[in-house]
Amino acid sequence: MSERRELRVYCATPHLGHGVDTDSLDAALALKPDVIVAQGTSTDPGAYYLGADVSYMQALEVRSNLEAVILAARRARVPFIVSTGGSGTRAALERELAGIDAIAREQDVALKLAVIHGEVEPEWVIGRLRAGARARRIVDSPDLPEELDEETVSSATRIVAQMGPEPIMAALARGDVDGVVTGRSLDVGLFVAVPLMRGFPTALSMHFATVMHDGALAAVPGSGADGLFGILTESSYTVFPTNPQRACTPLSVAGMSFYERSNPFEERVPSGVLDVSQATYEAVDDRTVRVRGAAWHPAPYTLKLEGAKLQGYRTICMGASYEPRFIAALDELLAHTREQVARAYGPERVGSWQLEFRVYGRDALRHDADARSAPPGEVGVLIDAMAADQALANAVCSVARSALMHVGYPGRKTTAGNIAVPFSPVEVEVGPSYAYSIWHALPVDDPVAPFPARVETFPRELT
Amino acid sequence: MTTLDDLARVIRSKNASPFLITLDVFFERLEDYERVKHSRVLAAARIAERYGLPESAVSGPYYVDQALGIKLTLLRRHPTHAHGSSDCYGAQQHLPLASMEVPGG
Repeated sequence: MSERRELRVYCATPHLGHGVDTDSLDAALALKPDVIVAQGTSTDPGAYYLGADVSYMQALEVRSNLEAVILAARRARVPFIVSTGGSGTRAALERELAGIDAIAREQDVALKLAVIHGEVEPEWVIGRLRAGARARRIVDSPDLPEELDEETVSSATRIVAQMGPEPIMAALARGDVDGVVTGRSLDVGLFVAVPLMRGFPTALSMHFATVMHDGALAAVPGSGADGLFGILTESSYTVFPTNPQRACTPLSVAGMSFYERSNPFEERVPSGVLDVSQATYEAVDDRTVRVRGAAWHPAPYTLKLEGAKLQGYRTICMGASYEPRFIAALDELLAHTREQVARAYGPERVGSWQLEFRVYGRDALRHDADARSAPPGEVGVLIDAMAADQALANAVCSVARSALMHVGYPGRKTTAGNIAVPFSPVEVEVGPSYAYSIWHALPVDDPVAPFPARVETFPRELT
Repeated sequence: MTTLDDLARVIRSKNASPFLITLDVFFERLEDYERVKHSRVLAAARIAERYGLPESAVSGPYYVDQALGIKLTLLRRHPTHAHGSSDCYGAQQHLPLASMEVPGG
């Protein structure tokens, strides 16, 4: 094995839509990358975006970042690999493709792209279950069934699967595409596809991908909107930011094993577990770090499924107070408010609505013994109503707001109203609320088959 | 009295899925990292007590010498989407940890 064999990868941004630094990108192109990669899907903003099928990123920002990546890849004559569409649904990816079409037309570039959707049909999942596949929950949360069942699949509004690197590798192996655009995807998979295709060691490649995929978050100062350059060899890899204002240090790169991960020694991917407990991080110069020493434990292939289901409709109201006697009596007043709503909308509708309060300034965030150690000077009370339909959620919130506004308490002098509401509408319809009901690992024999690629040329022909 | 906040460079929380919150502590100086590591102040039982969770809900502590960092992961009382949950990103769950007292010095 020749130590000279190397692969150069540029991560353009930690997340499409958060920003691409074009100076950093230009500097990266001067270093002749073999591929440009960026992720654009996540579950972090919550189940709403998957359930309601809307993007959590601003379309204009995603499009400008995609344009920077596409034009850079074109200038460098190398492929690009991106996941896009937030929650990674079919419709979200199609919206981004319409953006890519506009980019191709405006910039006068012809693109031949492999498009790989990450949304899966419930019938397909049920078919797998009926064929005997047992999909265990990935986190031992009592909110998830231990094993995925048909009813849970059927009641989900939408399901996506985190594709691994294999469908991307299959698309690139065609040899005739300028880039790969995916829906929901394993972030690491985007970055490890080319290293695995080129035959670099699996452990090293997987570790390389886990550090690369969050871009300049691996540097100091860290950034959620800047890139990272990586050079992979047979025995180690090096990473550094192309932005001269930043540097990678052994601590900053080793620290990436922490970021949004539950266990800093293990990274679970569909085909196995990466063990970085023995990895070493060594400064090559004052802004470049060399990494080696990760281990790889292959495991039977599983796909991570993410599904969201509707859990109700929400209406909220925020009311604030700085009246010490009101604040002192608040727990009883909130209990009274709940009783008033129960009187109006129960018991015949019991179970069809829920009411929650959060007292900001007091204990909205803390639940430990110290949370209430001193009386707050000012509190905000979030009245949070959820119900089986929007009209009932509105009504529950309205009754609760009115009850809290006018309830009496010892020493009350503010007899015209107890809470300051910041604006009108006083009660705000938030709309449908979704929960993650599927968070399971589904065994599959073939990691490519669930994710057929479609090859499409841009700009699309005008019809 | 010395708290973790006095010794650490970074004390942060974040989702590690909608069902887990992960707590990260990083140190500037090796001696501070070693002091906290050897004090065993971040034992799972103590963290569970601090966050009002059963000990079975705590994974770790994981001591990562290469990063001068310590990680603990908590099974959330409620997932991010639960009605009544107040931290969708899990980004402000650090304070019970930061205010823990560290012996020695």
